Amino acid sequence: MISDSLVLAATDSVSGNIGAVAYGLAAIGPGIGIGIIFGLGVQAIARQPEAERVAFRYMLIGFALVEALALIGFVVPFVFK
Amino acid sequence: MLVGSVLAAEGGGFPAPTKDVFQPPHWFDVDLGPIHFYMNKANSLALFAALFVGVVFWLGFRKASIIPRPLQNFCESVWDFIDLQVSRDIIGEKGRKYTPYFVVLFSFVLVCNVLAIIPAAQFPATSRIAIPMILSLITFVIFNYAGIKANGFRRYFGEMINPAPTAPLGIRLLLGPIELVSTLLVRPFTLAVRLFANMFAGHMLLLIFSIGAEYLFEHPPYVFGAASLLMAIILTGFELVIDLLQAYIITVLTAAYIAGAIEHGDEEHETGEPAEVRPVSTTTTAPVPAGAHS
Repeated sequence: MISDSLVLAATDSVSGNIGAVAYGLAAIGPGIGIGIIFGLGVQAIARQPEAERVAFRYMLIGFALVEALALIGFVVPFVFK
Repeated sequence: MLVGSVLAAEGGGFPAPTKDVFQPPHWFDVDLGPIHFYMNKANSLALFAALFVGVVFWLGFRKASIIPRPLQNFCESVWDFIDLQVSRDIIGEKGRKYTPYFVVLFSFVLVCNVLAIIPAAQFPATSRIAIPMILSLITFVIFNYAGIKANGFRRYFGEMINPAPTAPLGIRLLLGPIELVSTLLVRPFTLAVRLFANMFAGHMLLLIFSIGAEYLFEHPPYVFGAASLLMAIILTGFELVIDLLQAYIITVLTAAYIAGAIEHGDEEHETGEPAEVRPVSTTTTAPVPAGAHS
């Protein structure tokens, strides 16, 4: 009940789609996270080129885990009306 | 320069895709007792993916020979990839019995995902929460069962409730619930939602740019239509990469969860050096000295 009225109040004061704002906020963290992951991964490969296979695999795993959070933020406005 | 963008922004006439595109019209409805059964495009594509994977692997190994024919070669290379890079690399020798499940999981999710960009279908069967949810449920059952079988019920859950027995009491009280919630709730949830959200978002993006291209081509600055079409083409390529990556990720994470669940079952013989178990390297990189090999 309270969360309903808070969401409606927020929707009233935003002149566009609040789902877009929600996604924009949700994308900040994963953006920084992906930057850190790939930055450190590239650094690791630059220091030791033989480690490319290992580093690349963990970079991809880390990327998928972090991207999931951003995409959950994308999907939530669709799921909750 | 402003005309195209204003027309698109005011939304008059632009048929923006909503989440109803993920509920295609039912072809027929049948009530079988409590179950309301229907077939639509999403359903039949998932069924097709399952049958496709089954038929391809069956045909590949029907008359298996030492010198493989092309289809058998392809199926064997998929099996080898999962066996070496996922099962044995992440779980160790005990992982080999999970390889069939991983191969099926990987292939099924891959085919379901790639249906998003194949011309006649163009709908990712994994973009409705049901399939990722069931796959993640199966994974949940498997890794808990493997953990309980390897460690015994008391030790497995004891490990979850008390992951750091030598820590001070305050930290132990915090760690227990965090570990429990993380393993029993967050893992299956994010496993399912990661796959679902990736496919949902990819499909939405492709729809927006394709419908946008068709809509913008009706208005004079045709360059916006062309730009939208170009974006749709680029995103199709990107979507292929994401499809492959998501299929790989769901398999690797399942393997990692199983490895984490059974790892304390054999403390005498640590999983050893999985790297040494690998026969011939399947890569084409130059051989490196043994010390630098992972």
